[in-house]
Amino acid sequence: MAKKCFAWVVVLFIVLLTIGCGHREQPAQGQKKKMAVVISTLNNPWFVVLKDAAKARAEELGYQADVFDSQNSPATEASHFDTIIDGKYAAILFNPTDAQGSIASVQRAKDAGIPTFCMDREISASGVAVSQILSDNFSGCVALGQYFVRKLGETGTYVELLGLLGDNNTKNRSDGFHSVVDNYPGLKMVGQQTADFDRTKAMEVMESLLQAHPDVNAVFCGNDAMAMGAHRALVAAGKDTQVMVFGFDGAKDVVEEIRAGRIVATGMQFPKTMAKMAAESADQYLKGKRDFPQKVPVAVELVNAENIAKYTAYGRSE
Amino acid sequence: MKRKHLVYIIGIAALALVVGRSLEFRRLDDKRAEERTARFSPAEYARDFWDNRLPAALDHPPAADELIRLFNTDMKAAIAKGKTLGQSRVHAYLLGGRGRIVAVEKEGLLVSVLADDPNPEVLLCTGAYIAGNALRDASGLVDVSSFSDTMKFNRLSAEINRLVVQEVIAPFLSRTLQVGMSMRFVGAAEVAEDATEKTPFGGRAGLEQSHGPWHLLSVVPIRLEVE
Repeated sequence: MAKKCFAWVVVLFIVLLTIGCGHREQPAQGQKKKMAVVISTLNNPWFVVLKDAAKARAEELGYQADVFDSQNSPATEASHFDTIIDGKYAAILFNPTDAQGSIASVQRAKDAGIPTFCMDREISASGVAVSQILSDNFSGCVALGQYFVRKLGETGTYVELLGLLGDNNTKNRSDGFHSVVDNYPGLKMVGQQTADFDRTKAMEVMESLLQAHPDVNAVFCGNDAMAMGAHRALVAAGKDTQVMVFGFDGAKDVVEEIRAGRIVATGMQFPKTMAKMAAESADQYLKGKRDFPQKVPVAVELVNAENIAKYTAYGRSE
Repeated sequence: MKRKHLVYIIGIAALALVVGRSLEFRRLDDKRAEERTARFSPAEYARDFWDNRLPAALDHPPAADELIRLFNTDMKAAIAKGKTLGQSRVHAYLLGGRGRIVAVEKEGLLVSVLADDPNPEVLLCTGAYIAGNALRDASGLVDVSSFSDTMKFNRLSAEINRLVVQEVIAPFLSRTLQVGMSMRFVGAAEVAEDATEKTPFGGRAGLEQSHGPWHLLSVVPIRLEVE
């Protein structure tokens, strides 16, 4: 008898354990499922557009969308993931702070049964995030590099402002640009410094670069915030008509500056497209779809004085 | 006795479920591909791509003259024949054909491939370097999702382009090339959806200039041969 009871207890225990493993707390009836929108920084208008678009699409799809600002800090980001895991969110729309440093957070979410969809920036891992929807930064900067060579006439000196060194976008943009420009011996890079994708820092860096290299012909910036900072420094030094500025993003102020002829070109990214795709992928995942590509590059388009009519801030005019 | 069996069956089923949930089953090919990318060497990958995988894709490339006519008259139909990386308005194509050298420039050879038009439509890129991803993407043989990060994916492109310069362009340029020569080529091209919106390939981009500049289809050469 005791043996039989023990057998039943073991069976019951295993069944309960099995059910427990598969159980995720469901929102109460009438309560919306929650999506977390985790953004590397909201101190840059481009990321605000990414955030707004992700939140809006998630809400259109019937989710409660909560925004988390990582303030460019992997530690803050990791703490957000703790909150998200404890808060039983259904999915995460994620713009990481660091390609390597953010992997652990995404893995923790995955282990907790919460799918993550990366937007714009990638994590250097396969099979951790469900899908990563990323700007094709390299190709975008190949096109920018070709235009740069055309505008400078294959000779001259230039400086480069790099973004965050832990972000793969920084490397891909610089690599794409140099894959073209380095083939022209007449084009000499006389300075290369990081300004962390930050407008104020870019202005300071450009000021010091101008003191060391007053006759520079052009500056290539890894994003538009830095292009605006560099442009400000050039205006202050009275060199804005002498030095050509190239950016990357397609931000509102740079699109206006290109239209006005004060900045030469940028690479148009499509934050609204990427955010929308991420939210829709998350929704499809939650409805049962499992077959997602690990990486979805989204093309970057060259914007200059010749085609500016086709573009508006953060996208195409049409 | 029957109940005892039932208990065992339920127990074993539950145990199998618990163990099953803690295991992950994956295709061996996927696992091997992952290991290959983990010890990624762009030069080795590019060499394998060039020697072992690309040749089969070059046996019957779409005819360059037919594709150019399609770009000029029906871009939607042309897009359907291309390969697209992710979300893009630029599409990549393998193509091959015959043509006549119209000019020899620093950037490459201006070649006429349309029999009824003496103007050049193609720029065969035979300059000092190749940039971009035309060959990698046109082949359709390299999947971005099989790379842990996009930097590796892009380094591969740079290596493939280096092979084009070393093994196609340099030997070809060692011979004397003259305007009027006939040649065969196989190559790769990237074409934006609005590329022929204003001027067709082979058309004159600036009407004010009597000798061009021409609006040309840039082709990264894979095979070049003077007839």
